[in-house]
Amino acid sequence: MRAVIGLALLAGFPLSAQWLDYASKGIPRNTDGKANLLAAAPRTPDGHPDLSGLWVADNSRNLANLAADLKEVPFQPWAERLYNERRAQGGKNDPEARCLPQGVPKVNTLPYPFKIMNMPGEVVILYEMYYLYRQIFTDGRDFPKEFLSPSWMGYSIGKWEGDDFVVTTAGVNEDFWMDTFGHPHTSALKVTERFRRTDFGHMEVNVTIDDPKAYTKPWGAVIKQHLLPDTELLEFVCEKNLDPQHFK
Amino acid sequence: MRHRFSMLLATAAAAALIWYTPTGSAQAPPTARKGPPPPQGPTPRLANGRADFSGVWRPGDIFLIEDISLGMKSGETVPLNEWGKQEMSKHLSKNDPEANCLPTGVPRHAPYPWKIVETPPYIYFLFEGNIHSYRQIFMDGRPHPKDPNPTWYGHSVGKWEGDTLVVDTVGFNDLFWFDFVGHPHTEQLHTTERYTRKDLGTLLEEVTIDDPGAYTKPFTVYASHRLLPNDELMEYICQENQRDTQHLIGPAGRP
Repeated sequence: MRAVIGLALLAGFPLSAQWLDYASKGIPRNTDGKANLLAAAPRTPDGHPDLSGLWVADNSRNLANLAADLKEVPFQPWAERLYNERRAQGGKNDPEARCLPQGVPKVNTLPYPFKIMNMPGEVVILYEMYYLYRQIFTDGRDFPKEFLSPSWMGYSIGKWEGDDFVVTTAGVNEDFWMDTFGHPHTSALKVTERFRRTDFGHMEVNVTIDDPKAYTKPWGAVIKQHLLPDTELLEFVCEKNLDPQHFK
Repeated sequence: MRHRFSMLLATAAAAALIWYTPTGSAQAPPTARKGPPPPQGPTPRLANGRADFSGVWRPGDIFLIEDISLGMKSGETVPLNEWGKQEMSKHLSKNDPEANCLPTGVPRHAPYPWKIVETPPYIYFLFEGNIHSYRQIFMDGRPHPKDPNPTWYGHSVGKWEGDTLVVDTVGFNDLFWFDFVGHPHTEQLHTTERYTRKDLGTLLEEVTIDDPGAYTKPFTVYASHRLLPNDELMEYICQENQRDTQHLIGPAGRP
């Protein structure tokens, strides 16, 4: 252990910062030692871009409003009424405020990091916010015939289309909001997320919302992400369920 | 998937039934609730020869859920100090952090499956229950931070000793209980967990608890986990339907 501390000192890392400033190994660096975020995206042995790493959304634009870049949202009438109601109430019934999971696709827009890991037969994503995780099956399976237990993160299967990792999610419950503004959805929701790592430090998640019960046609957003080198996930447990009373 | 789900529901139902009986009665020995035997076979190995820990595991012994004293060697007792005894006597079931949808900490488990995910330099434990959360273990030889921010899972560093995964953790908060009966701890807690895959179906766990704030000396708890073949983790969100605690009455105790 002492040898390890010695090495860390030689490398110029203060002892007080062993957790949040911990040099990631095996990443491209500039001459000043900083991560080269513009280097080429790494690839896995089978030739696909390697998405693994710690990522976070560039901004909160789509967290607030998933449709921020759209002129209009193709609401079904009931969905528009519910959306307007939620907006008028200032988000006081947002399930996230009661420590419940953000669900898909909102997990891509959070202001806290997430970590992508390639495992045999699945991609696992760990979310710092609320310390949750999600499994995306990559073993070639199809969706189950019936979703017996609709869930917050849904049932996700992933496959490669060129350099895009395409994740399709269904089987979600109706309890989460897709953004802070409260765009609603039903259990018929099918979300497609296309993950594209454009270079070492940048990734886009192109999200398509397909829920014919709530929207007359599919719509979506492109959520830009950047890599967080030389740091780690922290534990963020939603402990104090006292916020909603202050929302107006 | 359905099979396991109904099995867990049955377990929960059985536990709930026993819960309402007066303390001290109807407490079957922990072995009575073990479920079907684990699959048989030799320990699977990775290409590098080391034991492979992958798979979905279910806590096979109930010690790490109900009462850690049941996992100690015969004749041993939990060496609570005076503060620890007093603190434990104040614990009421309704205040059990686990029942309030908070993380179990270490070494407590929720009665739901979990799995080990290895992706160097990390190992993660993914939990189906226990707020559907995960634990992060650093495997690259880094030291613990000098003054870690206290957390539910602490700061964990791990290493392999042959086929045994050894996890050393400090930096805990003092909020979780070790079990239903409410064994307490302080922020001085230091745990050492040793995991060994004895055979295909059995993962052995040995946890040494060192907390001079609550205990007079370190002590060790032994437990096992059984493989759930052809199974996957499901999503269990405690906070979704948290209505239990109003029904929990009396001092902390086994269900």
